[in-house]
Amino acid sequence: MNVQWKLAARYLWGRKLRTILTTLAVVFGVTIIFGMNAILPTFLQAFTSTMQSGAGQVDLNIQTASNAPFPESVVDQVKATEGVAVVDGSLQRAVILPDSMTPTNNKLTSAGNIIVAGVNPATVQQLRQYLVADGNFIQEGETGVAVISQTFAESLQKKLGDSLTLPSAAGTMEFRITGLLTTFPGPNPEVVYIPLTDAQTLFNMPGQVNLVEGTIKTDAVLEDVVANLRTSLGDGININVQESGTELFAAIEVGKSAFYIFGILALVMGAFVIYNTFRTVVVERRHDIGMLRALGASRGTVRNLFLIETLIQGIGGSVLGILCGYLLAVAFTLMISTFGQQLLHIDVGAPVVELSNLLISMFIGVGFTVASGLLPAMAASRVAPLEALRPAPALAQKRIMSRRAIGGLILLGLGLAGLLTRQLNLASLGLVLFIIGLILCSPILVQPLGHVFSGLLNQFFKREGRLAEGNLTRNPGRAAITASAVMIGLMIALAMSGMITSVFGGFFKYMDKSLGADYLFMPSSLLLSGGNVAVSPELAKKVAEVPGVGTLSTLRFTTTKTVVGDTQLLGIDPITFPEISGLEFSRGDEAEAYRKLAEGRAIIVNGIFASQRKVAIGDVITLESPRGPLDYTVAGVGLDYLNAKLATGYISQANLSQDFNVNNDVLIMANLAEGADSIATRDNLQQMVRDYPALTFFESEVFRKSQTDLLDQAMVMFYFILAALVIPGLIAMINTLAINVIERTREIGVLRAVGATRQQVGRMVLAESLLLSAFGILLGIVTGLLMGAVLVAAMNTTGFKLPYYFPWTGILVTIIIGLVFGILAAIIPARQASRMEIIQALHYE
Amino acid sequence: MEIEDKMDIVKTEQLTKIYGEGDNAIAAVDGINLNIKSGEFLAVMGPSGCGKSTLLHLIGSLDRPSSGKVFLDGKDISTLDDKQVTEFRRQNVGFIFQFFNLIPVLTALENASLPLTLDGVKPADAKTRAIEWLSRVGLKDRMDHRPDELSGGQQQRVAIARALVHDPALILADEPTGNLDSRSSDELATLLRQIVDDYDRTVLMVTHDPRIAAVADRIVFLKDGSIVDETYLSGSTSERAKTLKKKAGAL
Repeated sequence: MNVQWKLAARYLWGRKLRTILTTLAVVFGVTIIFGMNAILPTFLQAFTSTMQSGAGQVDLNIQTASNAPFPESVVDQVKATEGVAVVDGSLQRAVILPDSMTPTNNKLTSAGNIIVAGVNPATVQQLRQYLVADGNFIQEGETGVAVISQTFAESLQKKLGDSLTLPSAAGTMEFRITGLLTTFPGPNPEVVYIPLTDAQTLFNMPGQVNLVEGTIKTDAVLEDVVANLRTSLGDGININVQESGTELFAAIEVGKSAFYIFGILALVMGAFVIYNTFRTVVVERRHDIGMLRALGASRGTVRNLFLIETLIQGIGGSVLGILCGYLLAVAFTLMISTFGQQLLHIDVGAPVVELSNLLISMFIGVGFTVASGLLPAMAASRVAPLEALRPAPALAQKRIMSRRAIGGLILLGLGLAGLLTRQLNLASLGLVLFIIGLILCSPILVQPLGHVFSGLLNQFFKREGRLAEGNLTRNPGRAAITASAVMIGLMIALAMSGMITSVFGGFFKYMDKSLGADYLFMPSSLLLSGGNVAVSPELAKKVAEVPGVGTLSTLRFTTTKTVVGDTQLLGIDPITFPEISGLEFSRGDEAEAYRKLAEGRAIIVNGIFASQRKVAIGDVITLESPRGPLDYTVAGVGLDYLNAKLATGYISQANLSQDFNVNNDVLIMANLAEGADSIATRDNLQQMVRDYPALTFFESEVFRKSQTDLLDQAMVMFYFILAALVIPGLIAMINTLAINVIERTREIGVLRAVGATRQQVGRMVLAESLLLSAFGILLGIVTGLLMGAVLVAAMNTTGFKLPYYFPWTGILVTIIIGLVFGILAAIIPARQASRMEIIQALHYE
Repeated sequence: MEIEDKMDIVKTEQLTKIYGEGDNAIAAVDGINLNIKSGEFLAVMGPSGCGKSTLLHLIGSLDRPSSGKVFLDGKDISTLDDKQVTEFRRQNVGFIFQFFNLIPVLTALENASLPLTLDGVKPADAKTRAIEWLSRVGLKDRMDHRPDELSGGQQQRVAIARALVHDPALILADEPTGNLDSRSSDELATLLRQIVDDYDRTVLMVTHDPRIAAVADRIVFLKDGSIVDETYLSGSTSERAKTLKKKAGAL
């Protein structure tokens, strides 16, 4: 009906400030939901394109455990296996370009190290699409040609048709550049594609390949094909199914849910605001309602009038929220792109506007708004025409001990019980019940808490304190709802800051332990190091000889399969490793564990491994090696910063060499010798490492700083979200205070008439505001502490041993934020109250 | 035509409204039997608390009686449910109140057309009829003004236009001049008289002001919920007023 829309629009326009406040609450919630979920797909897209450009369509990835070559006949064997579709065999090795060819690089990348891939052009292009920007890919039968990426060509200052010299087993070989590829952003080093036969000559491995990739037929079952391959190829060959990166995918999915939850919480607070506002609006407009009913408007018409008002605010708020969300996403992308670039070498593009995200955000935003206005709208429709025409309504005092409160008490009890069981699942459920119960009970808490706080309040507000207290307790429902909104915001802020402290604290502890060395030689892309990037033990020997270098220890790396699936295997020197670095042991004695490693086939597993498979000291686990399955005894469970995300085992380098044929180092750690000159030593090391560009040289101080800088950047993101969650609480407070003032206009007029000064009236409002925020602070701290404890416990189940730090600073900050809000929220309403003209106020109906 | 031949627009039978319970029970309206004929201008007077407003609300279907019946235009409204009575009221009754008369966010024109708009009449038609009535009450040039831009008297005139725009059988006015100064009150009373005379309407007006009640055809006096006296008026305005003052003073 036209008139309802007209009325709704006019009413909203007539109360601009309040309309803006209530709409803002909705805007916040939708901004978070839409904005955050616009960023994640971007991240995901960038990541996926990286993975795809690397992996193409490949299902199977077959190598030996040590990347050693095997005869080409293996390719035919794989092709003959049932279920296999396309197969390609290639020879790929890391090659270090001599200094003369090394393009300029900075400290965190090392482009002087490249991969030379000898490929069979016919089959490899069936597996992957190589996007040629200029020229052609290798043609069948061609020799002496190379295909490189555009950026690599630029950095070498070469063009199509130029020659490229590569170091070979016999000296050098020259290739003509016949194709330039579009560069995909990726964490991998540059790849130079040459024909397979040429590669076999280059590396002096005639008739051999070291990587077989393939796809399976559409009707084949992957597990079966893998089983068939194992049968025909025997042990000693690693058959990998393409699934790396799933871990990051999973993390991103969790991120998505987390953001939805945050957004919904913000909307819940918005819903509180709207509910409060509309309840008051209904009371204020009772004359108009009665008039409309007297004139013959039906109940439905009146109800719909209010619903339309909420609908308009919902739509307006959601649209604005989507716009702000988009802007927020753009801002974030700019901020994170440095983060993404440095750590993951991923180029994060512009935020993606997914239709589903848009629709869901609108739906949730509008839905929440209208739902929160529903109860007041129904109440409005039930106002009898006559009742509305009376000059002053008798405000019915809600019975304090209502069913709602009793239900709330029950939930509180259940919640506490759940929390006390100390079992994670029950405790989480208990937390949720506790919070809901608290919100339901809060109206009964208003009066007693009001007394408690007013004692404190009266110290500062000697004359106005009593009035303020009375004002709040007169409408406990409204006070409680406002305090609940504040509570939610503060609770999350406290819990998150507590968790962040724990996470930081935990990580830094590991980092200190793991990176205790003064100098580090690390592969450039830490997280996605694929294992083909290693240096011969010569470098470690050379480093040890540099004057000024004291203790030295290295890490070696391979992958294996164990009972938990793909496992990283790190080779350490049980004697030097604990001197320089070390693991944080959660089970087993440290000295004992290292000793066992030196003595025989013993292994220390990390937290992720242990969380996937409970192990005790002395258990035997089987590792798959080129020599077949081997038994290793568990000597301990230890955690290490660098390998915190994947299942990992640590064995001695002697065993790694003997059983897995791995002799190259992936990480070198060295300490400054006592009394040595750090600057001279550093210079010497930098000089020497130029010939080994596979690893980058770091002073660990510098590295640690770069890591903390990156983490700080990530933290800014969190603080943003925290702020966004806490602010709706502020809006809720301003809203309530404004309503209170307007409702008590006549009363304020009377106060002024009997002699209260403007300042006193203002102070009364301020006192009320501080009472409200005190209420919210108390509730927020209680729930925030509980939530924080539950969160840390949850993190601990993932295998991270996170320390729990009682958030003293967090509590202090919460109190300060709450009080600041109390003051900020009071500013406008207090001014309104103090500025009222006495006569007008007295005549206000 | 004799007045007795015209039908009753309003007829109440033992109309009673009781507030409170047990010992505290008070009959605001106590078994009233009242008839109002078509085209009649009836005023109800009495001291405050005599139940005159309650009576008006009961007749206007804004309130339900504790016992007894109300017939409006021949229909027993006490049998109707809320939805039906709302619709009936919308089409058959016009209201003028003492205050809170107009919706503050609507213009005079929009306020005046409300009964029609609520009844689903096409906006164009509603507008035409509203303009017609606003002109008749002398507010054609203030059509697009909001209530806060109109004086008290002008607001009440908009209310009158609104009360007539849908051609209701009955117009109820509850202390329409209560908030007005004496000149505006006189103007309003004259306008109401004119409505009855020129457009053949039935008006029931509750008032405590004898000067205003003087424009009516018949006065009914209420005390403690019952009719205690009634009188028919004739003669010049001042004569009528004098009669009334005497009667009112006797109560």
